[in-house]
Amino acid sequence: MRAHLTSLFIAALVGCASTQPAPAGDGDAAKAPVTDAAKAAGKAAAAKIPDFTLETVDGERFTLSEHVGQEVIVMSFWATWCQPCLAELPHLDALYQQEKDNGLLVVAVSMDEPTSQAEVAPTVARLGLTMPVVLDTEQRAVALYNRSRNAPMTVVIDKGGQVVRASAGYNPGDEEHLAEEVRGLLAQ
Amino acid sequence: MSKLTCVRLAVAGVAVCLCAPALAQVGTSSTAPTQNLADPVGIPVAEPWYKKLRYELLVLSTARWQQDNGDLTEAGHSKWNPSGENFGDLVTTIGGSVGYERFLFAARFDTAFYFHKPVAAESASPLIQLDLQDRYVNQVRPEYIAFSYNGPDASVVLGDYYMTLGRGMVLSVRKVGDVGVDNKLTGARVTNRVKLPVGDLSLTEFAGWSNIKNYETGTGYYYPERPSDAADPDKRFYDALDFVTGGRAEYSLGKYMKVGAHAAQIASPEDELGERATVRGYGANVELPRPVKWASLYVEAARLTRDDSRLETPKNRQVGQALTDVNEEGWGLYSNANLYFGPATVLIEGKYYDNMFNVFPRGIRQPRRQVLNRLVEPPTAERPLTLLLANNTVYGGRMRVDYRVAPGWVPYLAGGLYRDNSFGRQSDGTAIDTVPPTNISAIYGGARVTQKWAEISVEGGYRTQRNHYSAERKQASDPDEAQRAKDLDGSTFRDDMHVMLDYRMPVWGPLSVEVALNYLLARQENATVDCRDVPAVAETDEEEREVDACNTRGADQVFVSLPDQWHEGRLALSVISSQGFSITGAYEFYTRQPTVYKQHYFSIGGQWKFMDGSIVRALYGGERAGLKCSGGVCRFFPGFEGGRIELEMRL
Repeated sequence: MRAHLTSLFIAALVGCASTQPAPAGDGDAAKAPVTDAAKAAGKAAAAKIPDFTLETVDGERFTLSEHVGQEVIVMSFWATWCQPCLAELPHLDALYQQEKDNGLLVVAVSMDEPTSQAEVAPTVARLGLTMPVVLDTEQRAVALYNRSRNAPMTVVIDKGGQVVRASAGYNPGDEEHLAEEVRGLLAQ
Repeated sequence: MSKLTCVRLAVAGVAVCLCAPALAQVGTSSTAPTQNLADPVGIPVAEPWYKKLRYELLVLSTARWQQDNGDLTEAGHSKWNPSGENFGDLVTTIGGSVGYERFLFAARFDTAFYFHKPVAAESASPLIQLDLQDRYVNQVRPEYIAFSYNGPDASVVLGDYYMTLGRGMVLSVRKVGDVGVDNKLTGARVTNRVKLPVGDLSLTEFAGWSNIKNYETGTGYYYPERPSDAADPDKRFYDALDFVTGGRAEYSLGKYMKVGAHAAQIASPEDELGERATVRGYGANVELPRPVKWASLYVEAARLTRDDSRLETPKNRQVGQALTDVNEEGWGLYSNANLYFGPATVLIEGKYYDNMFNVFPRGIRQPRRQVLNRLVEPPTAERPLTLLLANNTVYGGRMRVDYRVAPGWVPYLAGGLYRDNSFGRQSDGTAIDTVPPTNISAIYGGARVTQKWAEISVEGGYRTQRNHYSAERKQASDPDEAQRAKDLDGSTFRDDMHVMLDYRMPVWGPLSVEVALNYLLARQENATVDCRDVPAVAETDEEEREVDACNTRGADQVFVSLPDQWHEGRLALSVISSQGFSITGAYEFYTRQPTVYKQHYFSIGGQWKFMDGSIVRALYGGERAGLKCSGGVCRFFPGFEGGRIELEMRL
């Protein structure tokens, strides 16, 4: 059986190689004009990182690699039952509003399961969030960037495609430290 | 810096300490510094391969001395259960990953070592004796191994992975870490995404064996790889190894529409009794994520079939089992809609399930363990932290309205109505006359206030589940049965009232104070009684009711009216410093009667972040026994009294 699985894996990889990667930078938040060199660097950066594609609560497709290399990315893993998450998200959204034109993308990754998934969209609406909110029902992004399944969990990826921060939990005031760090990365 | 992370636990439906102070703070992921991929004139510079490696190591280790589990029975008594008393353990989880570009290898090892293991009294019941054989087994075992490629248009996993189809009505293999559930499939999963001229198409195919978590952190239970006591397989648990295959296709038109269809088959291997089962599930869903600004809609339908056969084998004849061939089917419809009217948000959720039977991995037969390892988990359409007694044959729905009065001020109100027929079904789907349906009504509301001076979250609610006897049954030909239906119609099956409060405010400099209260008042007036255990001559009023019910209905198991009311909850006060430490004092209580456990527990704990990404926590005192729920899964945790030190390191 292991041999069959290995064959399947290899076959799948061959299939992967034949697929055309989506053009980088066609996401909503990728607005800054980029040079050819920057494009090349962004493409290289995007290829360095485990990728995932998820749907946003509005039905749009979100692919991480389309933003890596173009923007500084803050991923916030949260859930509707997580009170600290609900306290943190408005601050992250405010940071996104302030810095999105400077190359910041904040994406909230909902870890809600089927039992509470219906509450995600209303929660986003009542918090007034403008940043992309994606649904990770199958724990695909969790398996790559938050294996211990902490909530909240903040992961920061710089424009070079490196994970430069992975911190769990939220206390009031943390958003100021995060903003400071993000602005430093945007200035690089 | 000290943090708040979320532990989603509930006390039989009430969330416990959703913002438990400072559970985790982890540091920077170990990665190489950012590299410039081009030199100053724009000529690409090759990066050494080893600099592209990413790695991460997470160690979570708990050492504790469990002094007392709160069992009030005297040591040596036949009912005395020594589980959880006077022993030490060292439980460590070591997880690591190595990544290279889009490839990732991840593995996790669970280890457990015990000291001064509990031993049952010689006079202890066989069940207690047997119970201890499955606990406190020293072990080092790999629990998660996966090698994956994760690209923008395709992903492949070889090894362990989680899998949910739709909203879980056909398949839900998942991790709910708070209650120790970690179900996986071990095999392969391939996902391809194709951009079409209009819309996107996504295809997922998977195959693998069910792989449950073999070690339960909360209780020390261990599920062997294979049954070690084949003579009594009903009492043993082992890795299920059901073969699960399936796939899903989804076509998306962005925010306007998504249409998907999926199917799965769960083939359980033949067990020692020659029994094998095949469950097949099919489902389809239509979603309108945001076709207009003010509404969204999701609808899913599913059908389940089970072919459960017990074959004629020498072993089967030896244990005197009758041959059976049970074919069963069920179906379900689930829907939810969201409406957005300015500051108001309306959530409407409904379900209609007809015998959406439970699907468990093969080899796990005790109901208490089965509930932790369901492979199909339809949405409940109830408040997410509600403890449901069943969710199989039921219809109804709920509505929740949130209104944003001002930024940071959001009150809400919700209510639900359901008719639950689950208890009136046998495993083959036929109705049981003696068990009536129940009517459920629930109302709850609360508010969340987020301001600079404080954060407050408060919620309260009441849920009632009442027996329902139809007019036909009230006019039964048997006058006793008719009278009984009239008497019990509308009587309480289970009622509960909950209150949750979380209040947090800065007090001075880096310090803030948090008060968290979770309280549940529950009343349950029906209990399942095994008539084979009922004494011939009743000595108490309760026994008289049991004897009467068993004699009247002539069944092995009956529901009888046994009033039971109890309180449970937790009150905690924390002082939290943003400089890396916190101290929490807590009082917990659980007063359910008849109980053999202590009812009141006190504890004091703290934590300290001693270096970047690493935390040490300590607790001394007691934590109550009782049900804790997370993600629709509830399990009974034993009481704890003693000391505990936890170390979490992320490198």
